[in-house]
Amino acid sequence: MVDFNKDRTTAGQTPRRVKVYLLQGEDWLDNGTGYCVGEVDETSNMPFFLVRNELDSGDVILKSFLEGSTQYQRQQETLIVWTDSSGKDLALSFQETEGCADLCDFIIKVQQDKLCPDISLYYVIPSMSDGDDITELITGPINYPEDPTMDNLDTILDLINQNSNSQFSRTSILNYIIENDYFSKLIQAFDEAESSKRLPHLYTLSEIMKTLVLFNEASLIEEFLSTEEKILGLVGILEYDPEYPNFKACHRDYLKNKSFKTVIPVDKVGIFKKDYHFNFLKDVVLARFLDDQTFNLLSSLIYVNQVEIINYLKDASLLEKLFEIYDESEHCNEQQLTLKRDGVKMLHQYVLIARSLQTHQKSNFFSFLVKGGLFRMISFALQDADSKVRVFGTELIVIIIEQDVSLVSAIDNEETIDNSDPPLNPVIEEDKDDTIVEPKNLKLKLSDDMTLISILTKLLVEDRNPGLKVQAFEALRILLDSNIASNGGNNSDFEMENPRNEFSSKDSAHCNGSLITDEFNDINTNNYFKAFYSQVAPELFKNLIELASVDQIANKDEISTQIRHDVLLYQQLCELISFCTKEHEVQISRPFFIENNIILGLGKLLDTNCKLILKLSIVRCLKNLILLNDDFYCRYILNSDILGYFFRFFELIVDQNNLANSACVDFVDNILRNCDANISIKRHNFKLIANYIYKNFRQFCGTRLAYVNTGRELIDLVENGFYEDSLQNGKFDDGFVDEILEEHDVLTPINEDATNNPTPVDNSSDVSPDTSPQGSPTVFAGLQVADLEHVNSDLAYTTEASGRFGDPEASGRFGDPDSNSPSSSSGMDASDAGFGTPTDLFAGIDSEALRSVGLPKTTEPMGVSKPEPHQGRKKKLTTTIKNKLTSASHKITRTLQNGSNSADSAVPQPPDLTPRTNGGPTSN
Amino acid sequence: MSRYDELPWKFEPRPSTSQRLNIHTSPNTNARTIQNIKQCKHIPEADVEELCSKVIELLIQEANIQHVDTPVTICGDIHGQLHDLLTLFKTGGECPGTQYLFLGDFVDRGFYSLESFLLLVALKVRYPDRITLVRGNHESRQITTVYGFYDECVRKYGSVNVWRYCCEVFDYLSLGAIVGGKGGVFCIHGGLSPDIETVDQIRILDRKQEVPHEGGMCDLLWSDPEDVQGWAISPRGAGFLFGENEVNTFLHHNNILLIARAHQLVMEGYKEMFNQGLVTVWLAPNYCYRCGNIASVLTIDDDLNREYKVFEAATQDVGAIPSKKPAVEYFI
Repeated sequence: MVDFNKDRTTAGQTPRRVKVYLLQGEDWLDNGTGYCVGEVDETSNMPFFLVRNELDSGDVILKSFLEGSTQYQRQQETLIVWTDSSGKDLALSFQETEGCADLCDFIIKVQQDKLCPDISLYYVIPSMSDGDDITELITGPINYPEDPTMDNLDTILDLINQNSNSQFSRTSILNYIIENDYFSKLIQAFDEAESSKRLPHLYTLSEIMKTLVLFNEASLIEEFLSTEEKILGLVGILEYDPEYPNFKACHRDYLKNKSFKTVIPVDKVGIFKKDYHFNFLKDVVLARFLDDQTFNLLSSLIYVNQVEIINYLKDASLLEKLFEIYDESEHCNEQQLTLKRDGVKMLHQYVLIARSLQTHQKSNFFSFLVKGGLFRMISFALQDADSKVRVFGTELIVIIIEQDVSLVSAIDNEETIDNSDPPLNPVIEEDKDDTIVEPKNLKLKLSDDMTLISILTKLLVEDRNPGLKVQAFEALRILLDSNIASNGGNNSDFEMENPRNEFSSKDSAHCNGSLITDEFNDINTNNYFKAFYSQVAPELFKNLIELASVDQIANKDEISTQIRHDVLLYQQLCELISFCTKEHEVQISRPFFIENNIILGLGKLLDTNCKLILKLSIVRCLKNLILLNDDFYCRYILNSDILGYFFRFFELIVDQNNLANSACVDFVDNILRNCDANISIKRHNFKLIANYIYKNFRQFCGTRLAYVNTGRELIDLVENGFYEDSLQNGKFDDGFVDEILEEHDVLTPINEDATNNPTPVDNSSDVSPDTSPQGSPTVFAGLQVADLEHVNSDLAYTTEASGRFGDPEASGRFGDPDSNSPSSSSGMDASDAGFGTPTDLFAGIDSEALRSVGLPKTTEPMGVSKPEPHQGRKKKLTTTIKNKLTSASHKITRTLQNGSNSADSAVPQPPDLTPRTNGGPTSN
Repeated sequence: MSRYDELPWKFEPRPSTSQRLNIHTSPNTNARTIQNIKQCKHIPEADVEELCSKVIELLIQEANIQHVDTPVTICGDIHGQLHDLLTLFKTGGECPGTQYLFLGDFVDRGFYSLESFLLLVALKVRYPDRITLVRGNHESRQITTVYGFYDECVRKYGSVNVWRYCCEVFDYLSLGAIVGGKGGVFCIHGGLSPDIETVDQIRILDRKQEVPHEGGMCDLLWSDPEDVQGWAISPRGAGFLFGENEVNTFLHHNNILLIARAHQLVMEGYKEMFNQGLVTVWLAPNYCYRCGNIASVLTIDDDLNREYKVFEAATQDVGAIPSKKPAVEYFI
């Protein structure tokens, strides 16, 4: 409001247009209009206002000296009002705010220049509600506190309280305190009061300190924390709290006994201790007293200091020394081991700090870490016997890659430079007793090096510590993000400061090949994910793959025992399946999941007696797969009778009202919603599924599911041919389905009973009993997909679609020599294969229902579809809301005004309660 | 007055790392854990994990709108004010003796979010039928990272895993409850949703997810009653404002006597609206240790009569001085 450092030398010199009023009785009388200046009498050195008539500059309307203890009030931005020494009430009403401000500056100047030290200026702020106006002292005489004794503490407290409500007086007091080292005097008084056990004095001192802290002045808080003695003095005084008269805290004991752990000796200890003390003050000593402003002040002081810490760590080559600890990996003694572990914890602490810094700062710090040899430390941490250290290690990885996946490619480049390393060995160590990998392998190459991913996978699959599993899972999900390469290339912020650019200039020969272009990224990403699916994924999903291939009865118990012991892992695998099938290039991910029958494995898992929590994860995973609206997954699910597993599970819990039941109803409901043409544009998959459910589980939907509308609605939908009559022709894409059904009379149901009619996968195992259990289904499943692909090619009418199938990438995969070899396909009859022909594609669907619809033919092919985000339901709900809102729209403005006044409403920033800003919905 | 230097109360010193890493489990773990939580002792990470996975197994068995028998005491937002929660149990009856229904917002703001939440979870594990936990808008990953719970977990454990375990539990919490069956009390954290006309509709939601930004599930946790016609945009940025008409329609449609909800600070502890068709109850007295409000709980008896108990902030009790704990270890 008032700038105390403003230059006021010219204040009052410019004539400002003003009306002069004089109070007579109840009325303000207009005494004329003129121009006002502030001047100082040269002989007496007395300042005065001078107003000359605007029509006649010789006519002085007002000459009023600023003297005595006159109080000036600034009101309504353009008024200065006062009672002069003769008792007259005067007012200057300025034409412009600027003029008023200028003459207020004049008052401030002459008061502070001691020309008339006893006058004062108050700012009167009209109160928002009906309460009293707020007055704030802008300038005036200040009473400074006397030096504290055992007799005047109450007076000092009163005085400080009085001075706490204006910026001017606060600033005056704080300057006084700092200049006179007043805080040390308070500490002396405290020591005296404490040694003579005068409780009331101690409480008063505590109140004084709290009031001073709430002055909310950075320089004052810095002063309080400027030396160890002062810190102990501050927290000591605050140990006493009149609100809790029978207790005292022990902050000093705590601080005195606090030993900081040191891994690498540092010379600039101060900033680290400061960080600790600031936080101790914020979180412990002052936690209850802080208002939002002071909280924010402390937070920003902490922030500034932390930036300094991070920069110091970077500049003082401490990190190099830290990472050196991890160089000699062979046999270290207990002491060295402790040091290494502490080093991990220490870095973890600072990485958490760095995480709260601004993007470029943390990016910079993290890349510095990576370059300095972070992975040597992580290598140690991940292999450590102490699971806590392993957790820290993974968390370090997670935080760093969360921030900037391009650090991964930074390592890649370093790898390019450093040719001394032997070729990397991507094979995962099978021997569990062995250490996980050699440290030197702990460098991730985006192209196809799966080392880090393999380690994390191994942790996820084998480690018993749930915390670590969760970390490993998080890390994997980030590393398996399909945007991993483009993130690295696009982060220009990072690019600018990336040390790898220095490498580029030093050694361009090596780096030419690793210049990141979009094209390069694409190839790189493809290789990367191909490597994942060929090297790591089979390990990751090993048990599900086995489960899918084993006989229904035998081995089931053994595997389900394994699974029971690690429910968390399988829940995470379900999430990873949902994630991978959605995020990854379908050409790369889908063959893996289909050929390995992983989804069938999930289905079979539903049949075991594993925990309910896991079964629900499976249901959700299957739901996500269906919502991908992918033709292949859809048909796979139908042909493998995955829904049979689902409904068998559903039957078990259909009579319960619990989360499991809701999750299953939600599953069916999602299919139902997506059959609605208003929601889903590409509906044929959902219609196939709905038909399948109708065909196989009509009874269940009609009777057992009667407690919600979902079952009935699904039956009605199918029986009424998906209400196509009510739709306009040509609006949808189901012509193809219709066409197929007209050409091929498909009535053969599949898998009414899974044991009587083995699934296609079991079928293929039957065909070649000699091949190994793992190998054969894969080969055949691959072939089936390839066949299906050909079918699609035949049916693809548009060049776009044929082009897609002619894509070298795709045909390269489907043209896999193994799966096309005559030997492996022998005995594979199209009709056995399940996938083989269009006929089988739609096995199990009641074509009557579809045919009766009378769909128009379209020329749209059923090509490979990209997963579409499932937006249908959302859209509809939004529409509903909109409609309801429109009807009430005239009320909204009023409501918003009302709402913002309600007690706990969280209008963008609840002014007194919110420590930080948030982009999301605000909260109470 | 007692002499200050002889007073027993001290801030709980931190256990050493080795103590913390010492993972112990025994049949009495739960009973002991409850005691330790009440005394604000450090709960080992492994115990937190175990509690969380146990409670999840129980929560799976609960409906989206859980049916609760009378008599029951309905409690609003706690927001990490553990000592006030303990006062509640002392004045309103300890948990197995009195049946409780908590309407969410266990965490954030206060200094003991973790302990408050863990205490409720531990009680739930011990007496599953005597305590029901409903999800509030603060039982969310996004909100807790901003309003304190996340920071509290990191400060107390040095890593984010404990926060992760708790957030996993959040996803399984029921969205509401019906007290006393037909003609009873519908209890939710926030309020009604334009997407939800009947209680049965809520059954179709798979609630195991982060609180969405829109839709029925979001509205149940975010909406507020207000003197408006129909539905209006909420200044909170999520959920809706709903008026008397909407309440009456919902009550009539679903054969419900009363909607009991929390979510908004009420200086007087509770506030009935819309011809007693809706009530807001608030549990955290002197909210944020400075709002100066009083707290209340609502007890519904077997005849569905309402009794409001009002109480003030916990003070003057050993260990009841709210304070945060300093960071575990500090490395230089």
